Amino acid sequence: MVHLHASLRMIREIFLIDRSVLQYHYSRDQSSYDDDKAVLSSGFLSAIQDFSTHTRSDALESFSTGNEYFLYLQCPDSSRVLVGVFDRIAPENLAREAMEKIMGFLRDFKMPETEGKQLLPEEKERIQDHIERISIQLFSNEQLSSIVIETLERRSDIPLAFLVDSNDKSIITSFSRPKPLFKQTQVREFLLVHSTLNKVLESLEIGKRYSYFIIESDDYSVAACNGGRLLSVASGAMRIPKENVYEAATTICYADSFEEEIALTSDETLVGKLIYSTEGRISEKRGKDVTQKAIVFISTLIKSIDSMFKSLTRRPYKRFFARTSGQGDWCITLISTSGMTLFELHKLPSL
Amino acid sequence: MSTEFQLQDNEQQLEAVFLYMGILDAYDAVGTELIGPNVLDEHVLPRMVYYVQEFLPEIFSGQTSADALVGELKVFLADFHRKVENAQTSGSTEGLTMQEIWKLRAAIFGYESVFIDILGDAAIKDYVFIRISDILAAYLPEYLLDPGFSLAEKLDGYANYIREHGFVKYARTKVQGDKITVATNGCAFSRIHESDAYQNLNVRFCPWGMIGSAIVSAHEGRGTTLKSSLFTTMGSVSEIETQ
Repeated sequence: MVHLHASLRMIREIFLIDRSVLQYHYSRDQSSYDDDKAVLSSGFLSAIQDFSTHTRSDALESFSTGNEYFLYLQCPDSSRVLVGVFDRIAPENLAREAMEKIMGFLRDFKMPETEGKQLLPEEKERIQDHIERISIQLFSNEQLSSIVIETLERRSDIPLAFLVDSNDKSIITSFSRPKPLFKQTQVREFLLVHSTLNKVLESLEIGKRYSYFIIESDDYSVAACNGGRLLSVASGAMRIPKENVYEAATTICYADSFEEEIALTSDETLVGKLIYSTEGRISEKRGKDVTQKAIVFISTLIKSIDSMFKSLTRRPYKRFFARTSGQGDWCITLISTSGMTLFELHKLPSL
Repeated sequence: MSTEFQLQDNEQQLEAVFLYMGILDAYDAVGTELIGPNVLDEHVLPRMVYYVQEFLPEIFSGQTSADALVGELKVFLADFHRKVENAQTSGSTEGLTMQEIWKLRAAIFGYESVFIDILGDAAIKDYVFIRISDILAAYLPEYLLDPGFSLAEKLDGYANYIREHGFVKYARTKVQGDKITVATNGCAFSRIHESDAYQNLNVRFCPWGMIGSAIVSAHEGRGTTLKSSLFTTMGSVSEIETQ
């Protein structure tokens, strides 16, 4: 269970309502909250939305009072609605991101189908814990920072890691053992890879953001995770397996969920291949048609990956792997050998 | 001693202390990676007391209990770190003398001895020194990381640097394929070579060679190890090898 100071918590309440029936309720003042009041509130919240839908022909998305505002989020392919109550000072874009994250978490949660049946106390606690983690992740950089540092101080395999806010590109926190191992330039180099990789995905007409990427040499691995607002980077000590470094990067991204294991690619998943010479020219091209623009972006990506990896480990990179989020997704691999770089695009099968 | 080796330029003196302290920090970091987060308290300090006491009896109060000596050594190292950090924040070397750096040299020797004792010679060469070189690269001044200079130019610059700033009276570096040599003489810290604790060890490594190894590693982008250091009364010859 995460404990945090109430003033740092911007999420006041969360209601999950299905056809006017309250399925789950979270309050930041859980101990003093009256269950009957929650049921009554959820009834009012549903009624306001029904009013908007039926008499104004428009679904209600938000409303506000003097001290707080309410956001509605309809669960896709379901009659469930999530209603979030936020402090007036909570930035709305972050509140919307919190709603999406909570909805994503609750979507996989099996709610009791029989009316009147309650969630088990441990299930309620798990949801509450997750909401509070999201609250820290999005609204309290200070707490997030101390959690990340405490986590990494306990491990011995990750001497360097940092978290970046993708909205304003600021550094939320950094950890390094010893301190001088972390340099501001490493963040700049990472942000260049981040934006170049997004450009590559866009130019390849893959309409998704990347979920994570891993860069390796023979001795070192670096992993970066894209959690939306939070971007995490972890660099392993010498000869630490990439799986451990990836796990560390996902852990410090805190409340975000990532694939548990690094995806595997094979000849069956391969859809396109390019071979770049050291001068950045294409010497071989196979499979999926790649635009001239994408070819240029990929060549920039190759360069920026090398710079980022060198700034973190002092080594030239040998392998790069990136995966987009969700099922049936895409992977990009780069293998650098003397004189050429092999680019491959893979399409993972849907489960 | 403090006047004999007093450095001229404040900024460069700080840079040198920072670089030298990097060796101690790198030992600490590598120890954590190999043994665990409590390596200093649980494994290094209790074993390090003997070696440090040989050179720095003045930091101990004369108590005989092993725990008390460990406690005093811990306080000394923490104070020294704080002193260097404060000097860096304020940009002033006030209060930092060559005597302080000498203490640092003794602490580095303590670490090295304990590491050889705990991990063995092979682990030192196969992991510790490669990793220390990579970590130490983060402490190198920018000009030693500039890809515009050749390795020989950087090593020459480094040799001039330690000579001009009074750490050694003579320094020479040589690059021959994958083998690099760093030779020094008239070293400010060579009195450590005379002690029994130092002479009783079969394996010893010179900090000037370790810094040289970091320069090679950062330049080459390859694992680099300090293969050996041969000690003379006043100097050393270190052999560095790239993988």
